Amino acid sequence: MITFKDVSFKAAGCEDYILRNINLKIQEGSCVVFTGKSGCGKTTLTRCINGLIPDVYPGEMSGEMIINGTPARGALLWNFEPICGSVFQDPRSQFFTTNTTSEVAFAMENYGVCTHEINRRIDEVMTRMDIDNLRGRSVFKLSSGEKQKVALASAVALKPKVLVLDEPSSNLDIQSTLALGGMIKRLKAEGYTIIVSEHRLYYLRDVADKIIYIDKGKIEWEAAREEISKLTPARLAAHGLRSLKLKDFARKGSADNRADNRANLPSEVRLDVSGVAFKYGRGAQLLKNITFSALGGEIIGIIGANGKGKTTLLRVLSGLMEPQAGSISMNGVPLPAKKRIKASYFVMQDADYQLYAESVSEEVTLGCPHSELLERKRDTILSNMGIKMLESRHPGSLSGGQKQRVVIAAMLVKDVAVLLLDEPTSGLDYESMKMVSGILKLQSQQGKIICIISHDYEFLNETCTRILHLDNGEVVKDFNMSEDNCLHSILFQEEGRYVC
Amino acid sequence: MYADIRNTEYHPLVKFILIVVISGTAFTTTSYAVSLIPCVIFALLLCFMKNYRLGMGMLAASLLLCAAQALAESSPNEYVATLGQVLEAFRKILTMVMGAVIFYGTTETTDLIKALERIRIPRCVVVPLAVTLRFIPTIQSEFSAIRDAMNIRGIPIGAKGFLTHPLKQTEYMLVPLLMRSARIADELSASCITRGINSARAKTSYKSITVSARDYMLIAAGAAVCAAIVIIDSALR
Repeated sequence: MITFKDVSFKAAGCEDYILRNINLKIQEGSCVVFTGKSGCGKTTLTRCINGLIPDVYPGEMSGEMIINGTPARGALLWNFEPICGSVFQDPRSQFFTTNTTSEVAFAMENYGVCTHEINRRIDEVMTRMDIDNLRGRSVFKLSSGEKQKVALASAVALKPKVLVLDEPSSNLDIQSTLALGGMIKRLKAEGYTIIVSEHRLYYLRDVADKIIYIDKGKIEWEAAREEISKLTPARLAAHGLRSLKLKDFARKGSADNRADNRANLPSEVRLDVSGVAFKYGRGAQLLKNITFSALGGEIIGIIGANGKGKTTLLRVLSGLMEPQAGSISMNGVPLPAKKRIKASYFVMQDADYQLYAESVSEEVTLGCPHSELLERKRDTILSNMGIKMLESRHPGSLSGGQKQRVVIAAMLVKDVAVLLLDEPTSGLDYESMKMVSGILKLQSQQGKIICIISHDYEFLNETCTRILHLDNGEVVKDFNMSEDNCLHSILFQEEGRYVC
Repeated sequence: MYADIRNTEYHPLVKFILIVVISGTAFTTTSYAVSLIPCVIFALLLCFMKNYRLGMGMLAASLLLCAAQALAESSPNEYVATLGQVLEAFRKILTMVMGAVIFYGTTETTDLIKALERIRIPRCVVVPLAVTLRFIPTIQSEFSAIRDAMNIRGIPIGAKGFLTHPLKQTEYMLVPLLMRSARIADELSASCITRGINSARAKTSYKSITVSARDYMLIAAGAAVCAAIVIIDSALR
């Protein structure tokens, strides 16, 4: 179906080649997964396939690409016939219209499919993907999982030969990710050729016919169906990849994050949250009765399905919002919102919202009064995070992983007692995830209270000392991680569903 | 937002022309009371669209401007009296803004594109317009996220900050907004292009954008309102 012969690509204005001498063959009706560390070139490869390169992302492309029997590249892939349907990472910036039905129809309208056929296919796709209940809804009011389904429906409705998915599970929780895997399996059975570029591999284990590992623009190795299950966690970690089996994430981690060691840590800070309730305007009661206490040195992982109020809880704790009921106090002293803002730091999901200055060094000290001490502190932190060489670069020019490091460095410079993080490892590869984990563990040893929202099992297992499970506006489970508590068995409920 | 109202079946151009004409009557009338009628109509429509804050807020603002204008014009001082004219212009523009909000809140972007294409407006005008409209809700949500992030950093955005350090505040608001917008624009274009927005084929539509009986009724109602305004105004003159 797709053949690459010696394809190389260099982006305009760059000196290095992003892709070097790619040779591969993808069979019709198969599912191939491109994986590798951040910046390896897997997204670039998918862009070659769906024609965004070299016409939309300019550069020099050499070599030959044969898709569906004919040599083609760039605009030829989308100008006449819809050969590829694409789904991107962020559903928010994928929707052109504001209504789900017109979104599914959008692609077909652009290619001149007749009205009757468009409506027929909309009905067919929505029924098949089980999203009839999402018909005619505003796209701004859908959950991430629902948005991703609509985006996929929009691509599938076009009946393309190839489906290209770029990190489709980025914003999804575990249950939705597994559902996505099931959807991909069904689509494969219907004859679509599916190409997925991903960090998370566990949901594709049963679907992928081939996994292709790319490093620095070259294909390092390929693993066919039979070999996939033989890839050990050790080997995957050596390549910087995430595990293939969710159960592997639950391997007993190193002793340093276990609850028993906490006794040795200074626990000067104590945060008490009691009866906190919150809802937005006239919306649903997201938080009903949140009660828990946290001591300095704890790293608390907050888990729960999407839309259950985890981010809302952190927003309330950080002082961005005041709860409608309940109280939050530190060391016995109640803290109103303004004081909470000063006592805590909230790292939000998207690094782009949190970068303002012209250079990394300015960014990291923003909002702090200037002093010699501050500058030395800044230099130490930048060196520790491995971004000292980036200090005069503009934050907007950095890669995703680098931006995340800058945001975390800014948090460390502020040096507050309570650190709150929302999905800090979303989209990060294995090495970056380990780095973030290491930094947080160091911070907890200095007696800080750290709360993290995450769907990243590996990260939670590696880092947290305690887990809070949020459901129905309350803390339904609160347990310490110890040698006996296996994260996987606790989070996997009897009905075969994952809790987060 | 105004989600489900977007599915109204009124033709976008009919709505557009009606709104322009009704706001236009505000400019042609002379008496205060009559020139407030379009404003009241729009305020009621906004409330009907469940946007009470905007509807009532704009109405209150218009009434205040009206009162201020009356006060200014009764003053013996020439310059103050001319200020009254400025306030009047402001108020009438506010009415147009309300009309624009109503139009935007009840029209699906793709319906507008299709309607404009049918009257042969070139694609190079239509598509940028559609993308601009598409960006408005995006910018709204980006702004609130940026404001939160700045509060956390200890750089609160607000009236006080704006008065003391206007340039810095603007920089802190604009830089992340521009970064995010550039990124979203890239992603949005990629999404549209891979779904054929530049395809060489003629576009079709999943629903027909024709002027229907409901549109004619709307036109009749609008015409009646305009006629009433003109008649009342000439009677009061």
